[in-house]
Amino acid sequence: MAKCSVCQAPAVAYVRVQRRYLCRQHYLEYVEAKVERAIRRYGMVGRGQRVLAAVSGGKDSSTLLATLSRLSGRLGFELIGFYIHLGIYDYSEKSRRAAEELAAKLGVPLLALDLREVLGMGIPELAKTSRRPYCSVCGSVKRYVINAAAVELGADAVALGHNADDIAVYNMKSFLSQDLEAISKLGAKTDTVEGVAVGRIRPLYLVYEKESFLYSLLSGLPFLHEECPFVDRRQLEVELKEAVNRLEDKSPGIKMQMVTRLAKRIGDYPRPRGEVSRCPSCGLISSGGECSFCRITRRALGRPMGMEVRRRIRALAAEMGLLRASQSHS
Amino acid sequence: MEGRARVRLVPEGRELDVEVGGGVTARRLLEELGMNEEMAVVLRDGAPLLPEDRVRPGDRVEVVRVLSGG
Ligand SMILES: [Zn+2]
Ligand SMILES: [Zn+2]
Repeated sequence: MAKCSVCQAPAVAYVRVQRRYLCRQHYLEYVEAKVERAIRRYGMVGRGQRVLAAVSGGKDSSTLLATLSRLSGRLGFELIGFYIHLGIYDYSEKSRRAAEELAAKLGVPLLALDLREVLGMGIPELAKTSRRPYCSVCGSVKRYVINAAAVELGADAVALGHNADDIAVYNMKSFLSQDLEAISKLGAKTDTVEGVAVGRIRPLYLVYEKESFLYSLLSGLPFLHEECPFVDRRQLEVELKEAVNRLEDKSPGIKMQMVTRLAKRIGDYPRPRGEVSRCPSCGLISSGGECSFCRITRRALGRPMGMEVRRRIRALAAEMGLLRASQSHS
Repeated sequence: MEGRARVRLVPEGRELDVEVGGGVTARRLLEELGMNEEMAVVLRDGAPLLPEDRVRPGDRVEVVRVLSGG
């Protein structure tokens, strides 16, 4: 029976890149240390700052919230979880339960927004009535709502659960289509645009997908191991993920090289053209004219709903006593 | 010493019987299923197996794909 290279207890995992075995406790610490290293190396969060972590109920958000909650004391930041109920039938119900249990177990406040309560419909109906693909509508909605919540809560950063595998794959996908502007957004953090967009951080930047899974599993945290019913298994991303992992299997460490080198060169990629402007309907970030969320909801419901989402989040935050003092009157 | 192990694929939920002879390593089992250690984890009684741990005839294991798609 293999033993932990640190404490000689029975090993539960083998870290191929380091050629060593670890017990449960030391495996958890190994992943937490990776998250701390990423936070420090890329200057993700400062003392006294407020971080809003997007939680979906899946393994990555479980690892994200748990590692951040363990580090928040030592690094001196405040952590709030945020969950969006997307109205995707049973899947959303299960993921909401997982997210709520997770936050309760970790003692992290969780703000949960039910899309149907604001829009009267969830992603499936929204996609149908706006006649746009599910995954693209879902992506736009999540991006918008998470940013809106961060703005309303006065957060200094939004933490996303993208792991190293995700980043490596988006990088390759964008490279294949030579979408260099898209690559420019794959760094470990993006900047805040005062008043309209809160910067995003990716604390799991150096954590492999498998490590994220094992962390959730070994720490005994609730997470939903189920896929969104709309996920398309034939999509290029899935193929690329398998390809990257075959490479990793042959040359352990190659994924880590991809993401750390990308982070180093991120500034060399061209930023998307066009000015950053304010959506005339909701006041948040847009790339000119109305933002995509206000456009989607206008098509589906006859009016832009960004402002409604912002109001609803503000009300929820006030109920939970989460509005920051400097904001409470504005 | 020929035999099969019962494998449940997660998240698909599909179950299949895999010929494991007198026992195969977790790593080998993943290979036979067209996967590798980066993509999936083999669990027995909910606990992850190390790559060299053996899956034996009569075992019930879960092969959990760690790739998130959505
Ligand atoms: Zn140990
Ligand atoms: Zn808008």
